[in-house]
Amino acid sequence: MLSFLHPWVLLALAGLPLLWRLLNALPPAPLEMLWPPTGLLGDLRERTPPVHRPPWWLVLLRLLMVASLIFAAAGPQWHRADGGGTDGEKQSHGTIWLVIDDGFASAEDWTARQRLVRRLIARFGEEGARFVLIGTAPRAGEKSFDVRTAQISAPIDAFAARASLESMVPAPFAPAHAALAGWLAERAANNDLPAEPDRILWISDGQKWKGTKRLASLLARLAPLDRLRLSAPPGGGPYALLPPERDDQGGWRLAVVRPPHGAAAEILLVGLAREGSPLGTAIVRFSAGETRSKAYWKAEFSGLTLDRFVLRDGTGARGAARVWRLDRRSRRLRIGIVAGPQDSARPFASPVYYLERALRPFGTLSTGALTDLLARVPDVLVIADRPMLAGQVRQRLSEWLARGGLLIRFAGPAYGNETDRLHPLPLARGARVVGGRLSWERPHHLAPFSAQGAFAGLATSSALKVRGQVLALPGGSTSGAILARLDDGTPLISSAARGQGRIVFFHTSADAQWTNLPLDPLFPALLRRVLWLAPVVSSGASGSGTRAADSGIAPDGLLPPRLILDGFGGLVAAPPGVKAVPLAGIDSTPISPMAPAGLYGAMERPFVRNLQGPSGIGVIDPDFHFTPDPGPWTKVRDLLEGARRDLAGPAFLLALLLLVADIVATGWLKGWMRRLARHGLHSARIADSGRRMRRLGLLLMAAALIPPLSHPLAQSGGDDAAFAIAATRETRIGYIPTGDPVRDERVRAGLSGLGRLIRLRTSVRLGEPMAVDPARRPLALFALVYWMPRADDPPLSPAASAEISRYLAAGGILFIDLGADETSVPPPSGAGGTGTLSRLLGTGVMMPPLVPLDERHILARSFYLLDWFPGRHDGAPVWVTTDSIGNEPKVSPIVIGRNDWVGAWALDGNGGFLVPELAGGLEQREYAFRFGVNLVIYALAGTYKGDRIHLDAILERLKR
Amino acid sequence: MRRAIPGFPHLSARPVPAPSSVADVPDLTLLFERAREAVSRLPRQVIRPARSVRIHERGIHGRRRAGPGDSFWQFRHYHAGEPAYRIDWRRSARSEHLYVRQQEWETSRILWIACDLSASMNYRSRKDLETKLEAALTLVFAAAVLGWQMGELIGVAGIPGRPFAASARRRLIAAFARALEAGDSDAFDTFAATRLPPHGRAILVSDFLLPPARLERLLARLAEARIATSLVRVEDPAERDFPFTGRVRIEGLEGEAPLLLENAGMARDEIDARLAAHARGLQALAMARGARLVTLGTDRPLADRVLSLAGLLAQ
Repeated sequence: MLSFLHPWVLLALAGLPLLWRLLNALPPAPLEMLWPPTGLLGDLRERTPPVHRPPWWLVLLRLLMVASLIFAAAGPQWHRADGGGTDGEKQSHGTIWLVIDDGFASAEDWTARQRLVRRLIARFGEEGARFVLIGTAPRAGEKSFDVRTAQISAPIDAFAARASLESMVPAPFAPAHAALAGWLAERAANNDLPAEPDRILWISDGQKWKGTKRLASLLARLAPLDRLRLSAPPGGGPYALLPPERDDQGGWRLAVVRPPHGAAAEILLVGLAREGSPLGTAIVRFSAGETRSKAYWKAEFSGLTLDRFVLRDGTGARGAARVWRLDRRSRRLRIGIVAGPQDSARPFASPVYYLERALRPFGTLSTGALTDLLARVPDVLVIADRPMLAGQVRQRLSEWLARGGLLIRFAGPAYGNETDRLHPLPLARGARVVGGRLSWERPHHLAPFSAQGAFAGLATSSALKVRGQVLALPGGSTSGAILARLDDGTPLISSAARGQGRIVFFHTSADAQWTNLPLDPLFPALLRRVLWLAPVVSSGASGSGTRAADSGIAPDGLLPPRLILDGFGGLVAAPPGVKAVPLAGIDSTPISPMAPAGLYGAMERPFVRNLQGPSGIGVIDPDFHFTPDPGPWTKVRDLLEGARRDLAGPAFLLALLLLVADIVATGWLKGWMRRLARHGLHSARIADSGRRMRRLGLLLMAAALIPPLSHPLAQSGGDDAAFAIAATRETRIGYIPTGDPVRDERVRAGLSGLGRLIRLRTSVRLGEPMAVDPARRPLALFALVYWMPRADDPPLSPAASAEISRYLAAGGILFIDLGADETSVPPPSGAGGTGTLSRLLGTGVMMPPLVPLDERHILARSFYLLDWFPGRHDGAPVWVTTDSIGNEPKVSPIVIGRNDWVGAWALDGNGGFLVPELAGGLEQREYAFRFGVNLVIYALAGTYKGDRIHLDAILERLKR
Repeated sequence: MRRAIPGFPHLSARPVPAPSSVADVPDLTLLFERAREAVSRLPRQVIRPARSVRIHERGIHGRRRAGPGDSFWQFRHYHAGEPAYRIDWRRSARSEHLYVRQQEWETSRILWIACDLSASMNYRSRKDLETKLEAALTLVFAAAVLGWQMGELIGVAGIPGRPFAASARRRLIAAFARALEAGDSDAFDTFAATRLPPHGRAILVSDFLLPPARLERLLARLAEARIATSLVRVEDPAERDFPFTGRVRIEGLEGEAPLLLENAGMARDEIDARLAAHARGLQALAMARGARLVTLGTDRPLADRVLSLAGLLAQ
């Protein structure tokens, strides 16, 4: 059934016959014009025949066009004759349940999801419906579904529903459809539902979870059910990171899954330090329809500790399944084992052999003399069965300990009796060996490990025997210092903090002389737990005393929850219901609402539980994959618009198509095609019949289309070598093309002008600048790369962004000139980059903290002594990285300004300046050039001018 | 509003407003002022050489003393020994003495200026342009001012009587005003009929949309009188490039038969060819009579046009 919003507009249709007459009233009245030289044209005879009437079909076409415009303007609406379901039930919307999947898969398009629910609330709220909001995912700290919890609201009106929708956030769990179905079935059986539903709308995340089918059938039984889903988010997700694996080279193998039917996509895997600086990126590529893709990640920046992996696409989507956090257990420690020449002579008799084999999986090993090892500042030092330490070596070892080292010592027959105080407990003199002075009738076994201690959860074996040990002096011991005991209660492993470091002492040997422990599988497990105690060695002389050397384990062996993962992959404070996790169960406790993913233990050095984990424990196990739910789905549009269908759009479209047809037809009638063909003929100098020349014209048009297609193919051949030779034959400045030819030409002219001046004033011979596209070419061929982005530029591609971050890490200088035009990028406001620039640079580039350039910086001294850095503009500060100032300056990899220097440097073709006048006159021009000279020298010579190495010689010369 | 002249902050000039409305009769005083200002801004050297070069020639620059020349200066008594043919017998017969007629020693000439005031001149194609008539009058006045500065007398074509000296500025303007009022559209014909003293120069300003025969007659007459003639063709941009498209009926301003063009855009090439042929014909005509022809568009700046004019006069 057809109806109109504005039926009176249709009256205009009556005017169509008038239009018909108008279109046919030809020729139009001539324009009356005065023109003095008319007399010269007295006998002019026109060769063009007078215009005829337009063909009838053209008039019809135009009439149709006008008619469909009128039709569209009248607001036509189509009502389905049968499906008046929604419209007919206007009054019957009592209570509507909005069942919302809010698991981790919903997080990526959560705002779109909320927008949809808002529209649904608006649509049905108008008709007086009340709503019950039900989230299907469990909440951290909540045992079960309940009306009292946030997941299921009481019946509320549209306003309140919208408010509670705004406060709804996704949870870092899979939707618990089975549990919800069970709970609802129970309540329904007792007639105890929150509110009797009249209609149920289920906003699904499109995936099939455990119990989805059951919940669907249950809900359909309760009330008419409409299941809705969103179209896939723009980034192609949801994506889920599977549990990563580390390889021997210190890189990580990672796999990412996504639902089927996705388009080809490229997302970025970024490894971040704790403060959020990227340490390296890897590109994860999906071809169309691919559900699982692998990537290999390797750190590009050392020095900072890898804290987490994050999956990023260009859309800024976040999700709990996109994050994987690391803790001390994944840290790769630098372990030094003290060894002498005799150790390699008799390998099986040496503790070093057993220690190396036990520790190899947990870190990078190095063996050697203690002094050599200390020079490398390892995280852990293992000293087995060595005499007591004395003198300077002991002093250095103590300093290293105080800075946060972990010292593991083993006793043994060669262990001296001197007390060097580098034990957790005071030791008795002499060893206690079977048959020795302190009598032992038989070898002892290990006592079971304390459930609260560092070794909680490890099982001792009766095959383990200890035949010899070094005893601690009684009385001085504290129970907390003893991590493991023999079955007679004497300490086997003891531990104590020293400064920020820690000593762990095995009271027995690390070889097979006193015990068979080093031969047992328990030995590496024990050592691994010991390594968890490793604090962080600070490289500074002495750290701030606040960092406790504690192991992060509560005295009762429980790890209290500190921060838990939210649905977006961020961290939030743990709600009260979340339970502490025992250390022994840190890896074996399944991720659940009571023990969710998050950080446990000490805030400083927490244990991490990730969403990803082994099968049965993590929400995302290594075999995880998305299973799309087949539906059936209700169309969102149908639900929102009811059964009405707006026909105005199609009618407008029809009018537009008719207009295009009219233009083409008119053009044909006017002979554009013929003229085009004639023109082609003229240029080709071929005279022939009309048909032939028309064909020729078409051929010429086709030929004109071919070069743009073949061009990139021709260029994509391997001309990298040619480029590299061209870039390095002379010293050149590179610039990143922006795609705006005017700006690029200006930058090129500016750099060329600077090159000429530098040639005049310094011994540097710069070649002409070259455009270098970081997505395709290595930037490392250039010492200095100029970039002039504007705020409305598109961000750099991931490949370009990765290349820039490689370039910066490799020691290149990127000079970013933001210009000062209206659309220029806002300058960095202080430390760290700003949003726009970061967006332009892409996700992979770390923006270091910045400070304004002043005259003490090397950049202001590298050739000229400068205290003014103007370009075409003046006054905006120039930003350099904070580590490029001070006593041991580094070269600032990024220099940012907005003074438009190329504007001041650029020469036009005639030897004049492109910008003829600067506000500050010649002096400003001179200073702009001087800044350019300094910049180039800085890029070429680095911190040479800041080097004090020649200070003595200079002073000597001054004295003379 | 007074504004400083660039480079001369202590001086200032009052800009002369351009004629604003489509007045049928242009404000001649205003046009004259504009012309004079435009001339005053010309570089000095454009004007000066003419004077220095011609000072020794026999011209019309009256020296206010007796000497060789065409005009009467005075009678004086006959001195014994003079050739008898110098005696002016008519004067001598009226008294007892013998008189000799003396002519003024003339080193000056007459600069003839002629302005086409016909109907076709009262045309402009855009509101922001001057009409051709205004442009022509301005040029004529500028020529007069230039002539005076060079020390010449100004003769106005079609206006009998004594040539105008620099002091007779108002009289000159009044003469043009009268001619305009009278609708004097055949100044060229009158000029051709005037008795012209030999030597001197003439500047003819017109759109030259007149029958070639009329122009030819005038040029022949001027050449006969050994008057160096320059033709200044004032041209509206619409007359250079045919501006109309579509179905157009065009009409001249002097009663020519209207012309209906079904598709003016298509006829443009043809029309432009005719305009070019006309321009070529004019040029040929001028060359045949030793006259020089310049074409000045009304869309060119006034200073530019006056400079071209000064160039013509300087030669």
